[in-house]
Amino acid sequence: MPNPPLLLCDSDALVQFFLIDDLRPLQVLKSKFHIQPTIALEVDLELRWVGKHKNRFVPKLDKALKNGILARLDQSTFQGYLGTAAPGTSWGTYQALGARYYGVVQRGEAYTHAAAVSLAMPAMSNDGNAVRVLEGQMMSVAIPMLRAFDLLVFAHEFGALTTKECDDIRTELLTNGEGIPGPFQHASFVNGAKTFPCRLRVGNAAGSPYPQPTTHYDPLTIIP
Amino acid sequence: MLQRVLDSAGIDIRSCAELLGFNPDLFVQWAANPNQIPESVVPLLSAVLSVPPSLLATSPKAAKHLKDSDVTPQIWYKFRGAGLHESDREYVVLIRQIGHFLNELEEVTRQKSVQWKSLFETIRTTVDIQAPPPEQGKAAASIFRQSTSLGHGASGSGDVLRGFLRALGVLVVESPLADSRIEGCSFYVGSTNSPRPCAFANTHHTTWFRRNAILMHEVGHAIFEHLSGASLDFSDAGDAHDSIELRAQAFAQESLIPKEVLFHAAQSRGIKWSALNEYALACLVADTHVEQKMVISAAVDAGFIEAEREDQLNRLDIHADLLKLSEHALSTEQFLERHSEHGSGWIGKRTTTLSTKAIRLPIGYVNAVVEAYKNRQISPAKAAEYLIIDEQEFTDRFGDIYENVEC
Repeated sequence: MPNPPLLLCDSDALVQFFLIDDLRPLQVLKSKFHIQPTIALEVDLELRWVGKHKNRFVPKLDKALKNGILARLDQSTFQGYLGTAAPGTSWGTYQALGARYYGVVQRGEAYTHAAAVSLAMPAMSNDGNAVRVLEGQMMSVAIPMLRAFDLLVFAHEFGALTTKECDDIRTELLTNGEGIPGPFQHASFVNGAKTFPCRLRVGNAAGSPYPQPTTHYDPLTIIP
Repeated sequence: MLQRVLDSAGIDIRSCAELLGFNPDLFVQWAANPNQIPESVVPLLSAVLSVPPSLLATSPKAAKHLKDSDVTPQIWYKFRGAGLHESDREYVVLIRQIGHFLNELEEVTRQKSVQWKSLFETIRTTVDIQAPPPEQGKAAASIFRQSTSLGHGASGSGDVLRGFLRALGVLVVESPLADSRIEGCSFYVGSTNSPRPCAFANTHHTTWFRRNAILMHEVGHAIFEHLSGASLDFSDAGDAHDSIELRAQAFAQESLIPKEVLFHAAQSRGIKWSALNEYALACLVADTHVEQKMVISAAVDAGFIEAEREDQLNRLDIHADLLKLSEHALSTEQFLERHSEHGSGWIGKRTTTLSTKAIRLPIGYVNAVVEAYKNRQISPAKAAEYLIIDEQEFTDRFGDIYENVEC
């Protein structure tokens, strides 16, 4: 099974990468695994005006879009990936699904999950409550759904981030009042990672095929 | 077209963007390139600005051929009038956003209240359109009371009024606008194909008793002036003399304090109309839930007192007696502090913090959002969006039902 070509990213996870000012985990995904971190137009919208941060992340967002670390899921990009989607999927059905999700979760999450479900791609979002609400309303969610820390643990294991850098990131996020997964709240990065059920793994071509995720919390194995 | 609509409404494009939680630069871009407006944003913009979605998609080139009158939503004709400020219009934008959110929430919770539609229509078709305006107002109030729970019993209805109006589907907003001349206003909110009436009362320097009358006065306007875009009442306007205001005033009075309510209040207190003093009048105000002036006006209309005594009775200072009789005589802050277990905190729980202008949200609306969240019908982030606060503030105010659940 080839790596998914896209990872749909939600605002809350990207805000954490912007806060730590380090997009290397996303960069690694793109350069080593050919997985393009991508944002729905609604996430682009959210990132340009984030609550109390207001327009703080706009320069970083524009830079990431310009250098290709992030891509926007506009209509033509979306249509380029319809090959992997279920028959009948279109920009219109995606928009309708997003609008339906937007009734129960925020705009960014709604369209991130809608895009991931429509194109059968993984997503990254820290909002587990949104997943619970969507599933509770019998709405499909992204499979799998990674969190920002899945990418950090993966980047650490892959050697893209050092242990010290990861510890600094953890501290920086806590200082900024950002939510982080339970295992990391009172433990160092390495100790937290021991009990953190990471949803992103690096496999090797010889070991494939790997089991494919069937729920939002199943791990995704990707091959360099 | 976005720029044209905002210009016609007298709202600055950048202020509007911030008010709605968007980057102002994006609004400017959308004004120049309407095809860049994400589809997901169109319903909100359409509802807030009161324009059909298709109008927002009109290119600047095509928009040049349209006259101002073709693009100006009716509501803004009223709100861009003399004596109104941009801040007044910005509050209208915020209230319209809440109306849009309420429609969305009711879709999700499947608790849509549209009873107002049939009730208002019944009133409009039943009332004699050639009768004197006060008679029209009274006839409308009579139907209003008979068709609803307001007509049950003969006691004051101020305590149940807001919940009752909300159950009908009316959006009731009471919030302080310190620098505004607006005392009350009504207009329709929601998308152009899913409107609902909204009654607003400015809480700045007004009593609860007066606001009951203001709200019903505005409901009266919403019933009869439904095609006029909006109705505005100013704090410095004095007594109503034009037909529209006379009708709305008669509607408010008759729906809140009809003869039977006034009679019952006087009888239960053993009040003699010929010997009305400060205390007796305060009792009537406390029991009927409307301000002194309206009690006296209703008593004159009912034939309990002579019209010549009206001015003299209006001059009686009942405040000290009223304070002893009713907690509603306290200011909103004092009332909530004494009345609510959580005191002034409850006001804080209803106030928006992310919008550039703070507004106090209706209790019923806040409760509906929190209930949907607790029923797991909407996510905490969505609930925070509906209350125009950030997610952390939402969980601080209302608790985190997912606190111990790992994602």
